[in-house]
Amino acid sequence: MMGLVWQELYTMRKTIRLYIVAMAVYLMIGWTTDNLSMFFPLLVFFSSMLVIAGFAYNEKNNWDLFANTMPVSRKQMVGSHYILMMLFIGVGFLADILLCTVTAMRSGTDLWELLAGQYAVFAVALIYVIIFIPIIIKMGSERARIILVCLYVIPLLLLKGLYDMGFSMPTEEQLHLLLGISPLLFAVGIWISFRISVSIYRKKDF
Amino acid sequence: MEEALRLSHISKHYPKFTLEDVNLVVPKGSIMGFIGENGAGKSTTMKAMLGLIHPDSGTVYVDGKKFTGSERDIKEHIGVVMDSACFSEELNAKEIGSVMRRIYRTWDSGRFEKLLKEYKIEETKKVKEYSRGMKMKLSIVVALSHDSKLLVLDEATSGLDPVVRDALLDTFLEFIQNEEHSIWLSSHILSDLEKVCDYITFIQDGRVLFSENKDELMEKYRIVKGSARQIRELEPTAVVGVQENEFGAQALVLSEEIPEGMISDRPNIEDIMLFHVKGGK
Repeated sequence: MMGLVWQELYTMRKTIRLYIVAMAVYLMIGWTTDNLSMFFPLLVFFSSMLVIAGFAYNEKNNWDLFANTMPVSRKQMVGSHYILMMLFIGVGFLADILLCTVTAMRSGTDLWELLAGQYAVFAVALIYVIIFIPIIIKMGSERARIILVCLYVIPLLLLKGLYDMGFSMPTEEQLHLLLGISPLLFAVGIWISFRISVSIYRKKDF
Repeated sequence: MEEALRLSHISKHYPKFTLEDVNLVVPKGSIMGFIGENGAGKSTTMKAMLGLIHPDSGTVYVDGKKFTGSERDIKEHIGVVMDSACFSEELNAKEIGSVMRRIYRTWDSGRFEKLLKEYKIEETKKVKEYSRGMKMKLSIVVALSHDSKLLVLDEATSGLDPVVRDALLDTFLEFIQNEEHSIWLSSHILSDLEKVCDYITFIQDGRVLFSENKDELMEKYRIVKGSARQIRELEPTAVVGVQENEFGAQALVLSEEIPEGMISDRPNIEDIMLFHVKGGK
């Protein structure tokens, strides 16, 4: 399976380099204007976009057709995308933590407050990607992109709906509880998403 | 006769096309040529053979083993070349080798490097800078750099110049010198198939019309020429197809059924295919 991961990393290295340069530019702008609030979410979201770009490259090259003639199972084909997802989002999040720490030390901002905000961004990015991977496997990256836009809008509408219906914001205690169990929720979410993706991919004809 | 590959009663239904009850056997140490018109079912058969589609019915056996259930072990010994190289354009040959080394347990890096040199493929040049011929050669080098016992080649020689094609055909012939090795080769270039194949399978509208030893097949038929009246008088069950023009007519006829005194020529694979497809009686 590592061969599949390497194949995608080699294929996407130009895009990865481009993202790094774009991030460096955003970082410099944020740094000089003392406003990094936009930069941190971008870092994690760009990382999650790389996962989607990986699918698009494979489709362009007809890679899955060929790769499935090699001694790899369909489960491994899907698994390689989840490994890349964790790698990209993980690296993005680690870079985020590092920069938050530097920013907090430099400006005297409360580090934990900064990190809590970034953790929320990381959580949203992860949720989007684990929902999105099965959709992209089912529909292909082109058609799935349209759904991605809807995916961004639906939660906002839901939140607005709940707010309009009079639901109150969660208490600090509830938020702490959610934070505590979130790693478990992510693990379960990734596992469910993976199982759904494998099930869709196994039924696919190439 | 040991079997490298057996397709037994493979069927697959699509809304506009049906692959119907495909049966064929590729004996070990031989090359099977798979011919047919565009859309006849060649690629669908190949995909069913490699587990890329799920047939509605039927079973594939490779080296006597059922494909479903031991796919990964079987694929370790199958080398596949598609009609277009499916490698990322951003990779070079060296990187492709590094990917394949992590996928095939039997990957032989030394052999890969040797074949790259033999085929004059630059290790550090990106795939996007290759010509079509170079891409096909790279695909074949990859297929030959692990313990392939069965090569599956889908239009591997199409679009290549005669010199490159000839070199590839030599490679295929060299490959089957090992009696454990076999090749399944689908191509539109029937002269190539005639040069190297031991068996020919012809598929039309999703059905296998024949799957026979090439030499026996070419002995089985003759092209008979004469007047339209003479051709019409031939035994109908012996005639595969007839082509008429203003000067006369010709028919593909079973050799044994040719009446004495009639002029006949030996057909080539292309003639046999064309009479089957177009030469409706």
